[in-house]
Amino acid sequence: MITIKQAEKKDCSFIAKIILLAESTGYEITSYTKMFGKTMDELLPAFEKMIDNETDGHPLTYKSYLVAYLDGEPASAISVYKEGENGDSNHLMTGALMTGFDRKSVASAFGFLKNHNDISIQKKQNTLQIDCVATLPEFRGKGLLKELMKAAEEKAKQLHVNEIEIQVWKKNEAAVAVYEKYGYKIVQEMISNKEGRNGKILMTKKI
Amino acid sequence: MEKYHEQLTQVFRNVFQNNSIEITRSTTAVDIDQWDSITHLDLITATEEAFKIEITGFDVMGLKNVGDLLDLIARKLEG
Repeated sequence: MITIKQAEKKDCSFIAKIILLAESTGYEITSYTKMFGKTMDELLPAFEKMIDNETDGHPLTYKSYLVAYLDGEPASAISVYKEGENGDSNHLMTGALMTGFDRKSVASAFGFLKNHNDISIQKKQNTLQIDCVATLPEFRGKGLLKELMKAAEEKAKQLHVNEIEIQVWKKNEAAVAVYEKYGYKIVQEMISNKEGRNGKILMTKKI
Repeated sequence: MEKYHEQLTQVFRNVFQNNSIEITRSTTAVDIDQWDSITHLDLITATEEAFKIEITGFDVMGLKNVGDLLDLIARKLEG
């Protein structure tokens, strides 16, 4: 049985895994592992600590996550938040990273990000943002994402938001196809100057 | 004019290399081009240097707009 719940403090370890898993499809131009030059396993402890904060409105806090449980086991999760409600989500993420890493490491990670500024897509104010979408490998193909996406739309309605935005890597065609199936449309593409045919795609759905 | 406003305006102008930037308490990332996660770190570091204060990640997560940053500076300097 699938159950969807708002994440709680006890889910931090699971969510840290989800964040890093969401970035390990192989299509990423930028990712936390690339930014910090560390493996997922090396980053995991810092992420567990970092997302254990009580802010909301960005993907680096457990508060923004919806968790899908399969027969009582946490199996999948997505970050959903209203852009701008608690401040700019990118600024909040900067703060979160400063709690998990020393200043020099964050500055160096941002140096990497700066080299890929050409693919950055601005998040629209007062839209619902979906981010960090992943399912643990052993629970894939069981319809968990479909339930999470439905729950995200419910959350959008509760927050009086009429548009949902998702950013996807262009080369991740499987993900693009799944979101199209759920009614999302491609509205913007930012192709990388350095990485050939890859880049960021913005997909949106009106509620 | 609010205390620290003028000095903080200068910090913004230096970080964003734009001498025409004007800030108010309600200014957010929407109002200033290029105010992303990267320049936010530069802005925080430049603010620390200008006011001789230390700003933590938790402080940063409490900032919604320039007004919150002015209040944070005042709290750090005045206790």
